Amino acid sequence: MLNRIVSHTVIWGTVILALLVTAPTESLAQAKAKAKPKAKPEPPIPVPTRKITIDKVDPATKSQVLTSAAKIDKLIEANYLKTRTKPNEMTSDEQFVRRVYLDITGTIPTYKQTRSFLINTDKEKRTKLIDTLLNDEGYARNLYNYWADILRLRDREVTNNAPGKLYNEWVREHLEANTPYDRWVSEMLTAEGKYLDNPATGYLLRDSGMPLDSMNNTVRIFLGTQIGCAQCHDHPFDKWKRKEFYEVAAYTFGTATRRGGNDKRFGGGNVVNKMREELKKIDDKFDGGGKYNRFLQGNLIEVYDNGGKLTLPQDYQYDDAKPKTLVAPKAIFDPQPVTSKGDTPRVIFTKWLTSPQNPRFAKTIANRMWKRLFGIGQIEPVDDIKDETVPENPELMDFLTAEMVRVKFDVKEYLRIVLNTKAYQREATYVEVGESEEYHFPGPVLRRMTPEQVWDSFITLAVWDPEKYQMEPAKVQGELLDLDLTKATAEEIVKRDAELRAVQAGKVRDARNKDYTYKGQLLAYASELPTPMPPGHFLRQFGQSDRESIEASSEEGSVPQVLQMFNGTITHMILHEKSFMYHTVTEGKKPEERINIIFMTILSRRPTDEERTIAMEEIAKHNAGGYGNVIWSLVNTREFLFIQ
Amino acid sequence: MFDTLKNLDITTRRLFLERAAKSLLGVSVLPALGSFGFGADDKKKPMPKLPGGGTASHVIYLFMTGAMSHLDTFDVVGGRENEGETKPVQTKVSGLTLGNWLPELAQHTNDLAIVRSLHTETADHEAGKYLMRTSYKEIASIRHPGLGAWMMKLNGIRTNRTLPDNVLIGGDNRHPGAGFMEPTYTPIPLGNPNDGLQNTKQPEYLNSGSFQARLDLVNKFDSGFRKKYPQKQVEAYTEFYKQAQALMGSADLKAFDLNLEKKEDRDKYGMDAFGQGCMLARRLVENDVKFVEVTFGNWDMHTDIYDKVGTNAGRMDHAVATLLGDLKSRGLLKSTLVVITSEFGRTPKINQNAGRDHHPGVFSGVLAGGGVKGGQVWGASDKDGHHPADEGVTVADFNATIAHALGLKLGEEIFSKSGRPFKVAHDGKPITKLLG
Repeated sequence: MLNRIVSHTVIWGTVILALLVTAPTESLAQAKAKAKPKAKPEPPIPVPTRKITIDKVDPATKSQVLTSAAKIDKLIEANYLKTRTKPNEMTSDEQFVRRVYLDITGTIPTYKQTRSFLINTDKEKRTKLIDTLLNDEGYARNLYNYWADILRLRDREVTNNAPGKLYNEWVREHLEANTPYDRWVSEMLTAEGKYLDNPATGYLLRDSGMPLDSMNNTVRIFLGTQIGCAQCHDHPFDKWKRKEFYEVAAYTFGTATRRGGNDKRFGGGNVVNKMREELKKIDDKFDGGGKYNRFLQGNLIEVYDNGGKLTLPQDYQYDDAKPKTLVAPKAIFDPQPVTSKGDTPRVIFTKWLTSPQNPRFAKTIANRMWKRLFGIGQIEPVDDIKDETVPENPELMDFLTAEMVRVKFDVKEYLRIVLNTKAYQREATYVEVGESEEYHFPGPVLRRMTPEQVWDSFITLAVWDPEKYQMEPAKVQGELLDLDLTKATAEEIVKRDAELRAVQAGKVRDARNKDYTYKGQLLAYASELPTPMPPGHFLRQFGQSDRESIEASSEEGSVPQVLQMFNGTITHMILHEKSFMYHTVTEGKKPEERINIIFMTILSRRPTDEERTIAMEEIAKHNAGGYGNVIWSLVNTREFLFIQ
Repeated sequence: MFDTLKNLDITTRRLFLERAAKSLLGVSVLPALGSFGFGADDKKKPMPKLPGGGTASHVIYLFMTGAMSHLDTFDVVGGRENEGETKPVQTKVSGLTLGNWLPELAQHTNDLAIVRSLHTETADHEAGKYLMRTSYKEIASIRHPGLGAWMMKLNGIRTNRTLPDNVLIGGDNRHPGAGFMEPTYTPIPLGNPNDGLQNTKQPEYLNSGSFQARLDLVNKFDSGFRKKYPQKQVEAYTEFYKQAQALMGSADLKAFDLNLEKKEDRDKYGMDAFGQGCMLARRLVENDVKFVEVTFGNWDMHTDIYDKVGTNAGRMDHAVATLLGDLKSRGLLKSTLVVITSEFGRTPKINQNAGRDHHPGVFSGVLAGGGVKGGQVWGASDKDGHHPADEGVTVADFNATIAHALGLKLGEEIFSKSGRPFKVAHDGKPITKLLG
């Protein structure tokens, strides 16, 4: 990015350069070349990438989509009448284009994208744009960030000695392929085998060693139901009995997440200890400690059914059963699971959970996706549904659930329907949505962008071709780590270890990152950065989850966020003469044209007359510096951070 | 209730009755017991003076997130079946033992008041942390403020200061912050103590016109949006802009900069994030910041607890002992209340993975400094470390004790926007005996 030659610096460049106290940063490659002019040119370091295939919407279902959208509007409008709710005005094209880009692709549109939409006179341009964006890679990036928060995806490790990236990428690929939701959830819950061979096991490994918490999380995430209290005692605010918790947990309790080093397949003795002794013989520096654990322990991580049975705890305190008695599996909702011959309890449970007949599976995902677009669910909170819960509009909730089932859990198709509703395309509600009164969806609520949306929007402003940057594919590490411990030799492990260190070396990372690094910060979309970012990073300041608890992402403001926007690296980057922003603005020739471009780039709208006058005055006063001030000011508006 | 009473041993029963009597006699009846309906006039009456209240003016609140095992740290009495590999060590206070991972704190027990009978109902991390920080159960319809926000609210905002009064080190996304209160009470989160407060320098690359002029420009461009959406989430940013601007260029920013400390002094706290967080907390309190929370994670030890607890407890031990010594030698311990707490404890029984699971039944909290009478243990867990051996201390009681040490009015009601009344420690009653 920074190596690009910008051809439009003539008018503006000299002046803005004078504004830049720091000289344009050289890329690492350039700096090295200067430092060692006579060194032999090194062969280029390969930068492997992953082929991304994004599933496309079906043009043939368009009329059905519009019919369903109209039905949703009918149900909502009936409720407006009943509750005397005045619907909001329809969004202007300017409001719509910004919102729909953010909601689908997770970033604001570029100037060109905004402009081409605004000047388009096609009557169906909204529906067409929705389809275009659903077919864009940004769709999967944005949805991945959403699931990363729920599934607590982290790169470092999904469990000890198992790098999370493989599982994360597995999730990502299913979102790209738009695998039906019930199917990829099933695959995770029933996954078997070694993690390094089958990353879908990552879901169960995330709560490795905590089978009861794992069940609690599964029911909360996929059935929108909280049974956690009943882990220790009867639920105080819901109907769940402690016994019921144990009964449902019994389905998955017999799932092991680690193969013992003493397993007979390894021919007697502990394979880890044996191998360590071998490794000591050929690696002088190896002290028998954890150095090779990612191979030795990592290849023991495996999900399999061990037939373990759950018994009630020692402190079981109710009269309906005795402590330490065996628990027979039973599901928490009817219809009870259908048991087929040969199915493990985990498979039986999963079939029950993901069935269209399960009263909360389809409902939960329909409600979650509704909330993603409206900012508030038909049912709130989305993960605490109780028997007595009444959705805001029960008929609508039923219809949404039925639609989710009708489209066979094709989440993209479902979003396509909701995005095409009039209700979604109305303006955001002006007034505060209160603590207690019910919201009847006169339009979406005003939302601050998610942490990833704020960051990705800054990336859109600053960076050339950000979609071309990809994080290292997980298989680079995964294939090197994957070994068959029944056969592997110490020599092989030492060799693999060296290879792994080589691909993880700084220069390999630099080769990938060099064109996307500014002042030490990697400027790539959030989905391509390590997850979670360390505390103190822009994303964390804006509320990115630490990935320790489910849906811990936050949209709250704070002083460090404001300081970041005032003075942070990425704000600086936007004003750099080699930034994409600079390039976009200098494509305009006259001040008025440039002001238009600046507003349309940052806020996706044209300036009002008054704003134009203010901006013109600023530019008259400070010449080129005035442009910088206008840009800086606009990214620092609250309007920039919120989705109208 | 009387069944419970019957089961208690004689000493605890006496203690219980003694306290019950005191409340009946009005010794600890607070306006907080508002079910009798204190009217507006009643509120103006002088409150009954409680012993020990109000000597603390600052709080360093150390939150062990993930749930610290009480049976491996502050509730190690020896001779219990469930103590695992942890051994009791004798401390400076005769008869008081701690886990062997806490050798340095063992030298500071003269300053510690250890509550061993805390208990809650929830075994969910988020719900537990929320309750601990707010004294209220988490519900969907409202967000309750954290203790730091309460302290600022009840004491009133101080003017002529650029430093914040409420700081959160180590970050915790789901921190309740200011809850329903105005955004001005929101803690300033610092992700990494070594970085301090970042981005406080004005952008040098923008040198045309003043910073103030640019901010004026922001406000002009933003006025339409702000007028259109008069919402708290929008106006919160306006408040943060104000605070951010005040901080920029302030000489007080030094308070956030650990690089101004000597290397050997930093080492004493431990160079890990919690150690440095404690040191930063001390610097901030020295600069009159009122409430500093430092969070310390990785306590959720479901597997192989004895591979892990030594490291975490060791860091805590080192950092907190250094902090207490440091505050003392600077004459700040009397006015600074140091709190160590966690969302709940861990199961007494070691599980099949050699770990301990979630256990809200009983756990420990620690108070030091700020007028707390050290060298004492309040309450006890039963012989298995499973439940309180006495009637126990609720989270609200524990927080009421903190609030009382700070001289906050426990009965003062603050109303949310929808008109619902809330109190600093909910319905908690302070344990006045913990205070000097």
